[in-house]
Amino acid sequence: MDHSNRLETLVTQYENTLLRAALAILGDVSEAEDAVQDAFVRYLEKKPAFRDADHQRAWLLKVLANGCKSRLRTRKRRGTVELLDCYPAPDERSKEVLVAVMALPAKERAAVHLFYYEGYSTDEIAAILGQRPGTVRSHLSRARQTLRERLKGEDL
Amino acid sequence: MKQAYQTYMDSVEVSPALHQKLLGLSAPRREIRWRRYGSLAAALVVLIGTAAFVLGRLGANRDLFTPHHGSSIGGYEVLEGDASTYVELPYIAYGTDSTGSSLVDYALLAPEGSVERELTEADILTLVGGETALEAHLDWEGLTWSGQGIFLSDGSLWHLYLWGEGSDLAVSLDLLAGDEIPPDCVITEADTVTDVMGVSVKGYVSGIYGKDDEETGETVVWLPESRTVEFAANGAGYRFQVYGSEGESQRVEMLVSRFVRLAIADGLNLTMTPAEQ
Repeated sequence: MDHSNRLETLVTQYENTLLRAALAILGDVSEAEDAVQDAFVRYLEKKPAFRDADHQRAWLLKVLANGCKSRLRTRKRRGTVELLDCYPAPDERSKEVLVAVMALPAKERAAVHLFYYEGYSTDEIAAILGQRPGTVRSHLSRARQTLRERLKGEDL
Repeated sequence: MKQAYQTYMDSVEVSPALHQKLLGLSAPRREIRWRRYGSLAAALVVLIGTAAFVLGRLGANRDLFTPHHGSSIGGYEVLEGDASTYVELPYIAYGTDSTGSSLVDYALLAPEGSVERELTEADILTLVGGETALEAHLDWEGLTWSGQGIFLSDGSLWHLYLWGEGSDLAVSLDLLAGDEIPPDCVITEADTVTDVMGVSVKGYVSGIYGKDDEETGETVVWLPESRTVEFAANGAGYRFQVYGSEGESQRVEMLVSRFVRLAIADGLNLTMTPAEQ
């Protein structure tokens, strides 16, 4: 299978995964869409060989996370309102939680998304984000504390 | 709460327009830019005290990647004037450190009369054989370099340690004049050896490289894909390592093969006498 066919397969399989992670980290729709495009362009550029599906998914998320980090370093403001305009919450509860999560710092949002939505372990998140596992655990711990306070004592 | 977050994220889907845009993506074209080394002098930064400096992107050849077959991993073209030469790169097998490694203490005893100093960009160019070697053969681009060398009384090189680092690549070279591999504090027991042009080259998958930000403590450079080779040729023993990003094994192995080929086929300039222009 050549790389253009492989791209179609990867796009179909992972476009939503990458978009959701990019939105979680960046909180801005147009930047998130650009970050997703950049991640697939990186794939076309590097043409990596994957050991298995897990490796493939982790590689794409790592490339995406690196791209998001670069964007966060240079951007000036974040548009959470735009996010809900483009992707409205299906119900009030999910909207409330999303607003609370998106109010977290980007590093905590990234850890929250990869842990609670993608189901990665803290060691796996550390490898994806290029952080130490202890740092990831700190981010998660702080995020849980903040979310508990904002969402009236509920646990994640 | 987790359920509510999952409910929201599950509802997010790529629009048809974005989907089509993604399917239409293509790899960026790599520009081949040729620049005289002298014109980049302003781009080189030498920091007093640390002797760190940058050899900018001096130009590159388009690599011709082919799957390895037999003794070759592929190759590249070198353009010199109107002539073009295809340089084949040796295949090197890499073992894993499955038998374990051990730590030892060691000390290098430099010959009497030798002088240790920081390396300069001129030293590196002289060592590898000039612009063409650096640009075309080694493909060392955009790395910030630092290193120390021990020079004998006649000016020739006795020992060198060189470290080059970029955003997604790091290179280290440990060189010792003579027939022995430079000693190291980590003795690796991996035993995968490839014959490259009559020289036994030990290759193994080495460790990962990570560097933490001093202020935040977070890892800012994470290069998990690495290869190390050890061999002795043309009057020197070498330990050469390349660290690359996730998924970059092909690029890492090509860079290693480039250096191995140069060191064995051409040899490095240990006399440190600049070549005549």
